Amino acid sequence: MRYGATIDGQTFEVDINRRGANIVEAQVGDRKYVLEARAVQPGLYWLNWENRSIEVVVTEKNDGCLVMLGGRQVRIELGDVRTAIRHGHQGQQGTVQVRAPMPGKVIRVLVKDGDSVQANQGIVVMEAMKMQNEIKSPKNGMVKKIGVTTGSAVNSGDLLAEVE
Amino acid sequence: MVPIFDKVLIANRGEIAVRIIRACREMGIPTAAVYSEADRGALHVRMADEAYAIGPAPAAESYLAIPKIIDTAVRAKARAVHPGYGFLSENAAFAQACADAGLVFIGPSASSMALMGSKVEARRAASKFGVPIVPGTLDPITDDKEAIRIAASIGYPIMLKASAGGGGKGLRFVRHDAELNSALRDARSEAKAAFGNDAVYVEKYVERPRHIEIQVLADHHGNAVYIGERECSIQRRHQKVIEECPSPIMTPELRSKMGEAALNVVRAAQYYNAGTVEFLVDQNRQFYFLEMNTRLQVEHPITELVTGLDLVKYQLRVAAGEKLDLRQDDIVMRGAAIECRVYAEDPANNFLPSPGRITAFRPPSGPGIRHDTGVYQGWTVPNDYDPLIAKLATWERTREESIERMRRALTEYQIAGIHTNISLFLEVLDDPDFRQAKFDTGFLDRWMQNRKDDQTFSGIERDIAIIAAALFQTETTSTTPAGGSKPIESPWKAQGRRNALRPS
Repeated sequence: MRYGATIDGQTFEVDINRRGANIVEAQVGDRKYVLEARAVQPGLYWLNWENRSIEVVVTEKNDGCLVMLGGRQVRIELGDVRTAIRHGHQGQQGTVQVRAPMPGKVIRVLVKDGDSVQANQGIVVMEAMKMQNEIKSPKNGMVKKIGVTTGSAVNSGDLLAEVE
Repeated sequence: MVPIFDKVLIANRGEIAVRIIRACREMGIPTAAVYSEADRGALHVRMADEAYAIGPAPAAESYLAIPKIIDTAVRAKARAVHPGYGFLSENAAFAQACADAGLVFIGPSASSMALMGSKVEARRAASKFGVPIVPGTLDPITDDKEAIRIAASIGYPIMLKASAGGGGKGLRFVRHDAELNSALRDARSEAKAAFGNDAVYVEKYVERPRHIEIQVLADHHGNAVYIGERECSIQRRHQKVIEECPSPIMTPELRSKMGEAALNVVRAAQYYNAGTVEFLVDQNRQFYFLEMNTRLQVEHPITELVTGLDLVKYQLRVAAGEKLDLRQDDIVMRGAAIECRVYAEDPANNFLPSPGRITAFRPPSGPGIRHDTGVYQGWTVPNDYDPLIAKLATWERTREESIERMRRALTEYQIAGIHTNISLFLEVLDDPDFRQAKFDTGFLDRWMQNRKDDQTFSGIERDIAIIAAALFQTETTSTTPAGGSKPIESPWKAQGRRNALRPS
């Protein structure tokens, strides 16, 4: 299976295929790997590559995943090869949807339709796990649409606002 | 052995409920757990001898519902109630309700709790017993003009604090007049929401202080000891993140001075139970009483590791009316312990909470490791409560070795399905200033501002990370994503399918 993997702003082509019990062949860019790979528990993998024993944890994170390796973590977005490469170059152009990163309740809406906002300016305040958190604008721009009102209960991924 | 209580009801959840069950079990005391709908199947529920449903997920209708908990304790024929920390642990009305129902409240009297629970009254009482306090108001601020006048008289910067507060809620730092009005409004509204009381007071801001707290233990017979200190200066937005015992700046002289001051607070409050007297220590090692926590503290395990004492068992014995079998000379501190608070939050995304299902879980173990948790593989961390999911503590002979042990433990810690702050600890532990113990309560917030959001991976490590991500993707989606528009499959369904396919 082929994907485009975007990591630290760079996109790599990755091709991954299973060969028999727990053997995986992978190609990242032009580098080829054959590894033993076992899902020890869902999301926790043990890999053996050329006798290097590696434990790695993968967790979903809005449209991508977070990979934890040796106590350090990195976010990786996987997609179709072409869209991933395009996306990698695109950045935060056009209208950006600000979505709820977790389930919770909207405590305050800090902006109005048509307001101009700076990157990292608060859009709404959400309460989850007993903490109030400001959900911030990902870019400089203008608020196009507000999807919630004070008191709204939201699920992870619900639209909070659009910033153009 | 006849147990000191016939049964103890634990009016809490999560890791602390588990911690209390363990102490009870070692003392032969049967336990009754309570749980909300969100905690059906929680670890503390599974581990207790008896488990009682007490209501819906919102804490106000379950873990904070005094009548339900009292009724349950009576119905379960419990003799005593342990409140843990948070929830009702510092609620004097609850302590009184227990007493009224003929239940032993495992904590101080309602009156000493009420005295120390009002930060303003606590400061007044401590001051009367010769304990140094930070300059500020001894009364809640009622109007904004008065606040401006007081701020001018003690000098900016100042802190606004919720009179009923704790845990960083209802707390605001104010640099000048212009910020005061909105800070007052925010502090009051947060205090009202968190504690049902919007009273706030003003205190001078001590520049670059350390937060050092003294553990105390006092019985009903007037005996009290201090059990060393904990250094809790590594905080993010006033929430403790890493704690150490002993404090790296402590000397025997300072320890005995602070210990005696803490015992004066105990006397001022006519306190019995385990408790914690918190101090700010400035750059010249002058210390000021901050507040007293009249309950078991989250970070109590590091004191237990260094002193070998089981504080929860002492709480139970004191509550049963036993005399302390410890004199001050018996308290010996040995080695160094450090604790990291593992939170379900995303350090790469403004620390937003990360509730959800834990798909993989392999906590560290081995020499010198203590891991207190209320979660397990397959457990769904609810959205309704505090994000603390585990406390990881290490012990070794010296601070340096304890830090190295913690680094080892953190790299061993595997958890998938939710985000945690584990990677952050490794970064902080490697910071040269942290290594040399050069820090104050503002250290972590300053450090965060200078930190890069994402860690960079290169070479083989980066390729391995990409391969793991791709493996994960092939398992969660069954076909190649066509333009990325394929709806994301339910992880429940995917898991069910994987389980069905797994050879038994």
